[in-house]
Amino acid sequence: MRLIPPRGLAAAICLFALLCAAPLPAADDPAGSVKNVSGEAAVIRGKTPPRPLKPGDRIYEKDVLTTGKNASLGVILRDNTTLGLGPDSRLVVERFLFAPASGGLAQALRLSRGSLAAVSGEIVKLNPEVAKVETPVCSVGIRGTHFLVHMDPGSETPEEAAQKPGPEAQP
Amino acid sequence: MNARRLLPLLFLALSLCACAAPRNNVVLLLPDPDGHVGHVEVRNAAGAAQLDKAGDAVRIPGPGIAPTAPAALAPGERERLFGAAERALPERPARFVLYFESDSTRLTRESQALLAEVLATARRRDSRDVSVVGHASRQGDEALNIALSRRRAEHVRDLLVKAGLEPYSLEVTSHGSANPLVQSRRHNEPRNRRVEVTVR
Repeated sequence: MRLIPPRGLAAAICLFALLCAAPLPAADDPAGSVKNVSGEAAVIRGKTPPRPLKPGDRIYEKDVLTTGKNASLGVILRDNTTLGLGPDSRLVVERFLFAPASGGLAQALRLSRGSLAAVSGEIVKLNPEVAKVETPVCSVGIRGTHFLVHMDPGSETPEEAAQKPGPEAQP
Repeated sequence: MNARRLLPLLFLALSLCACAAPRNNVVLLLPDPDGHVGHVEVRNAAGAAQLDKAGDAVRIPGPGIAPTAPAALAPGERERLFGAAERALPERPARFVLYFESDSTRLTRESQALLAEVLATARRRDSRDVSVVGHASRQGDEALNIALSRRRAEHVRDLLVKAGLEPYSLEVTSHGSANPLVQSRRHNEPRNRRVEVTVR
């Protein structure tokens, strides 16, 4: 009788290898960039007041993107996911990690209100289990590729509801 | 009373709940740019729905109410809910693959010609975000591979800047041999010795 069955040993080695390949911290690498802006669109980064966005601006993990009335915003993430945000929207890049060299892949967006058009990129191709869009009423798991999400205002938290692109709308 | 008789009453109660809730919480699946149809799963505490047919949508009236069964939207509804977001969706990034002579930062002849196309695309799209990513084949030492793929990527960056692209719109990274284009038994697979340029 063997002490460790070979299959179990192989599984243990795989698990060990996975643990060793822990992703490097994303540090200050951008998660993406702004491609187009129409009307009032802004980023809230940490506790700073909203800053207007323009084409070429870099987007980072944890950024809160908001659009005003009649406004829209186009963003391309580092894995070539493309995002279109409609008017009166709030989208957070909760988690973004694209480090194929170290096996680190993660993509979590949160749409609190408004409309989002998305075509997913490399992350979903490499691992369809890691990409999702959270909303106040559901979680959307993305196995590919082109989809739209719309959320009526009113389901988000009061703090989220207060975050608008214009400074006058801040709490 | 018979449980069957209660069923219509239950449906009525449920549909009344749905009427009071927000009506425009919608997830809609569309065909990919290449025509293939993907798959999304909509889930909350009350249930889940699978979308795998182009044009199918589900509504999610609230966090405690299960997503509806997939169905097409009413005419005009897609434009009303998503028109602006869809028009804001950027064009797909353009990708170019450049190849090098073995153990060197010198581009192959064909790739030198392709560099002109990279420049033209960046100008046409008014791109402010160009990624230059170096990759290596699995030949030899991984640390050396990463160093070589980085030098190649930096060389391409320098060529693009010299040709007139703004340095601040360019970003250089190296993936070593971890993300091969071709899964090959040949350790010096020439198709994996490459620099990928993405024009966004």
